Formats: sequence, structure tokens, C-alpha cells
Amino acid sequence: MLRTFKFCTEFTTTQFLKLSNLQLSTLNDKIENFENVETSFSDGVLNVHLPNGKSFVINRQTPNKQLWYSSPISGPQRFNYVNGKWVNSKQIEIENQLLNEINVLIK
Amino acid sequence: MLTLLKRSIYFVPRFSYHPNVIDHYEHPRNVGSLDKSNPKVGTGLVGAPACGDVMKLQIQVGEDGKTIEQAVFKTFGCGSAIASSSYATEILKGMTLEDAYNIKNSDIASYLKLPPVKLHCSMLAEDAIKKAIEDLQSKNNQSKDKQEK
Repeated sequence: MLRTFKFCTEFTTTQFLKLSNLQLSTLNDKIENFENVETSFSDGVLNVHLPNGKSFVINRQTPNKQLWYSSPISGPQRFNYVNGKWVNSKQIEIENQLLNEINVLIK
Repeated sequence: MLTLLKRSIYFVPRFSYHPNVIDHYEHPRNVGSLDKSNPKVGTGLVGAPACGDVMKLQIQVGEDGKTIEQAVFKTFGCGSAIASSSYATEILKGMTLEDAYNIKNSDIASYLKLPPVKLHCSMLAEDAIKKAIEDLQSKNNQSKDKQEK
């Protein structure tokens, strides 16, 4: 099973920076609704710290035009911008992936 | 003056490399190259310089064609990437291709105690292993086709 990474050639680096920043700041805003979950966001890197010491790191990966995601439950994965959404190889949107996993961890 | 001293003693770095990573970085195992054209050698090349990590991992099987006798690597990248590929070559030796294909990035990451941001390095090592095995298998398929003709 060869893992293939889709390089999106349809937009420029500038557009990628805008899109990725937009997604990351949206995630940052949504996480603020969780109690006791701290976030820090700068330079295209979003850190999410849970009260039990576990953390997520989501960062933009400009050469690949991807968002790289690291989870204490599911490990590392990559998200590509497809049809207006950031999705992984299983077509799950990054917002859903993150919020679902946070919900599992804070129970 | 004393307060300054006290503050510096209590400063704890947010992330430091685990001794297992430092060990592999300072004493990497199995650095090198095997002959790509050898039918018993499989080569996995993953990553890209622009991303910051490139790993080349090669395996050589024995006479039975199934057991890995040798594994070598060359990696360009961070300490965690180097340690991940170095550790991979260590555990590959003596494994069957089937077991090797089942090595998970989480096995490598847990041994090296990689922090969240470095989990991608262990994933790259897992990809390199799979690619090396697939390369070997495609070589075997090609030679089988030639024999049948």
C-alpha cells in the first residue's frame, strides 16, 4: 500500500498561506469553547494542550501545501486542500477529526 | 543575584531529546548503502529536501528471499528523523518481510519517546520500510515474468 501525497498545484504559496492560516485560526477559535484546554498559535503552528498533559500539534507544511496533524490518539497524519476543505486520506475534515478526538480525550 | 541563580536552576526546557534519540544520533547504526541493482536489495526513498527530511532505507534479504539479513540507511534531517531510520534498521535485521511490513510508526515513536511534533519522522521511517519492501517485491515480480517468458 503506497502512500501518495497529493501536491496541490492549483494554488500559489501565497494562497496556501492564507487558506492554511484561516483554517488554523478557525480551529483555534473553536477550541476555546473547551474548558481547561489551552492553545497557542503562532507562525503557522497550533498547539493544543489538554489538562491530562497530552497535546496536539497542527502546523502548515508549505512545501507540500498541506496541514500536518499530530494526535496523541491517532498519531501523525496529513491534510490536503480538496474542494474547499482540508481533508485526510479518509476524507475526514480536519475540524471534525480534531474536535472528535478532543471530545474523546476530555471525557 | 540569588534570585537570578534560583531562577536559572528552576528553568526546565520544554522539549529535550530523549537519551534514546541522542544515542542514535551520536552513534547511528548501519549507516551506508547497498547495491540498488542487486535483486536481493530493496530501496525505499522518502521525503523531500524542501520538507526538511529525506530518508533512504535499504534492506537485503538472504537466500530464502524472505528474511532480512542487512539493513542500512542514509538520512538528511533532524535528530528525530535520523534516530527513527537508525532504529528502524536495527529492528529490521532478522525480521521476515511480512513482519517488517507491519512495523508501525508508533513502535518507533514510543521507543524514541518522540514528542507530538516529531511523530511525522517516525511515520516517514515506516513509509521508507514499506517502500523498500515493495521495491523488493516488484523486482521479484519482474524476474518471475522474465522467467515465464
